[in-house]
Amino acid sequence: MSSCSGFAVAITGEITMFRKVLIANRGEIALRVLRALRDLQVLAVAIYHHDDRHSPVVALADEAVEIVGDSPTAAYLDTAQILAVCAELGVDAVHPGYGFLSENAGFARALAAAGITFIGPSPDVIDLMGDKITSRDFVTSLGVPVPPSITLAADTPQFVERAAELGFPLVVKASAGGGGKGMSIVRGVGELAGTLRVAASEAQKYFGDNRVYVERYFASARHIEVQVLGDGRNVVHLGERDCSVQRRFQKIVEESPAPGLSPAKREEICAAAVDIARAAHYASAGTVEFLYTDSGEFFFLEMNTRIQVEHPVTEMVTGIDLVAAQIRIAAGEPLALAQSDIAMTGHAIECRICAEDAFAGFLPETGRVLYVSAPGGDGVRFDSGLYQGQRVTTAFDPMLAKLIVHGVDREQALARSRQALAGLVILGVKTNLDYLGALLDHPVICAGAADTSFVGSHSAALTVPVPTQAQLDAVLALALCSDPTMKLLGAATPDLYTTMGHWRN
Amino acid sequence: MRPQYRINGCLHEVVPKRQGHTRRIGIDGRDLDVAQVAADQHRGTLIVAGHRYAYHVAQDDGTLYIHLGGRHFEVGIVDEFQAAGRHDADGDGDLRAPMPGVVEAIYVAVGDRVAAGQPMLLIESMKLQTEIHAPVAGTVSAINVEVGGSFQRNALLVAVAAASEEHP
Repeated sequence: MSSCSGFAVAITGEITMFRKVLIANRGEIALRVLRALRDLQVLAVAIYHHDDRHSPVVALADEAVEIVGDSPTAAYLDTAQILAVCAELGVDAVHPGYGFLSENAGFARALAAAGITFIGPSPDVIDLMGDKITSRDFVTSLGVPVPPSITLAADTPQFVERAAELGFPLVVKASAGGGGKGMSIVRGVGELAGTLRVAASEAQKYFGDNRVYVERYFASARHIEVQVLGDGRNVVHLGERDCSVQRRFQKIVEESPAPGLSPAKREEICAAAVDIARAAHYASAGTVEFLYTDSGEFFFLEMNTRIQVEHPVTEMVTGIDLVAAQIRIAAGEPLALAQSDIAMTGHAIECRICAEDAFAGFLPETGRVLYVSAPGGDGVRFDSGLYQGQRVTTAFDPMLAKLIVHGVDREQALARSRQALAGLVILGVKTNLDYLGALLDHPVICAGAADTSFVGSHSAALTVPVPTQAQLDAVLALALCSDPTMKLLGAATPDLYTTMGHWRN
Repeated sequence: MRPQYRINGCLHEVVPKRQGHTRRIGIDGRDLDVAQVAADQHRGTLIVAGHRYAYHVAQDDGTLYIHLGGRHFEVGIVDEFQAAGRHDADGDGDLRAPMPGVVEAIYVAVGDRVAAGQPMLLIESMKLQTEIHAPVAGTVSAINVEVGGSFQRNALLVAVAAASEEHP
């Protein structure tokens, strides 16, 4: 499957597609949005920090404008600069991608005030669903179950005692957070005060809001999320994704359909997601996240009001271009899909490729990308913004690219994923590619039995694969052939080698 | 001259023995015949002792990055002169950066007495905040970073002079 263009066209007379859209993001998602804009024949404006000036989206966009900031991240978060670029270039709409300004209601409102469309749900819906507390109250009112929890400002004196009353383990999150930032597990009362201090600091720093939310943590549960599309009146779901394989609450491997979910349970969870989105008059692509316990209960976790990193998994099984759908809905097109139009075909798996030492606690790695070679083959999609010469620094998230693989069934998707991972070459910075390879060979993953504790509880079994002697010999032989000093020596003294036959020192 | 390469912390000696279309090399004392067919500077085929391997390779400073047999390898080119002069002078109380990042907060000052495990710094790397704790009880003898400053992996952040045994 090389493209996903199955979104049904239903252009009524009065609706006009945007003429020019600004992509307020970087890396692989900026390129992904660019591809959707090209398909819709919409002009694309890229913004970039100096560090990203050589990135492919800058070269490929119709226009590209440099933005500045105290840090590269600050530049991409600078609403005023982005608004100025929009005004100057006559931009009709902004696609925020994920992260950065994607769930910032203030940004969406500022755009609206300037007559520019934010490609995403309305600011009120972002406020409602983006806050863990208001969204929880909202879904509870709809009769959807939520996990036991409390929320308080982190400096409230009885906080520790009240949190401890929920029982351990607990998960501490920034109330306004998302994407796994500012989350940690607390297993006993002794760790609670220290964890709250860090969580409050992170919450304040990333979200400007120090409220902390403490919830009962389910050690053995799956993370199941449902992709929805709404136009403000109608809502459909595009099935679910299982994103249980996580480290530090950030997903590593995602797949659709979720293994081990009965058809009845799938129906129930997807219907709950549709109910939530419909009640919120949701108009865009969105994701409703659930915890699914081994006793068959499910609890609402949160709703992400943006396009998600793992959206291609759903695109691969449904054939629907979610980013194009977001843009069409933002332009005012009604949803042209009924639930019965959506069919899931086969199985898709995404692996997130990150600059990190996955075998040593997932510590971030830095370096310079010296060479990249993407794998091909049936059902293989590589979403990447990588380029030769790119500096991988700590300024941004360590995710570099995504490998998404489709197969007729889970077994074929796994086999193709393993092959594609082995064929993907990234030289110059350490990545988790070999770790992902080991992960997909693990019996628990092969059986589709991983829950959210998998990475933590099976990390011992996932160690650096020991190379065979033959592999090691080949690597060392290649090292000698490629060592610049030895190449120089070899070129300078060819006769010496041949006449001596043996090199001594 | 005996070239040495480091893979996963292990040193290997690789000695060229005969030049030509097929080269003979000694790896850790064993002789092997090697033929290389380079497609370009980054990729090609290597035939080692009769086995064929598609490879990719790139070099940056003293490191060779290799992809072979579906796996990635980092190979350190050992500089014999540097290797001879290196020594490890770390004390028990030296706190080195576990990863590159930025200093978010410093909780202690030079001269402060700290208990083992006491939080000393809050660092951030790729959006992950981590508290750095005192490795030993003692007195803070040096702070080599400032709030907002960045550091590389393994940089010396803070040094603690361990408290003496006969504590008054």
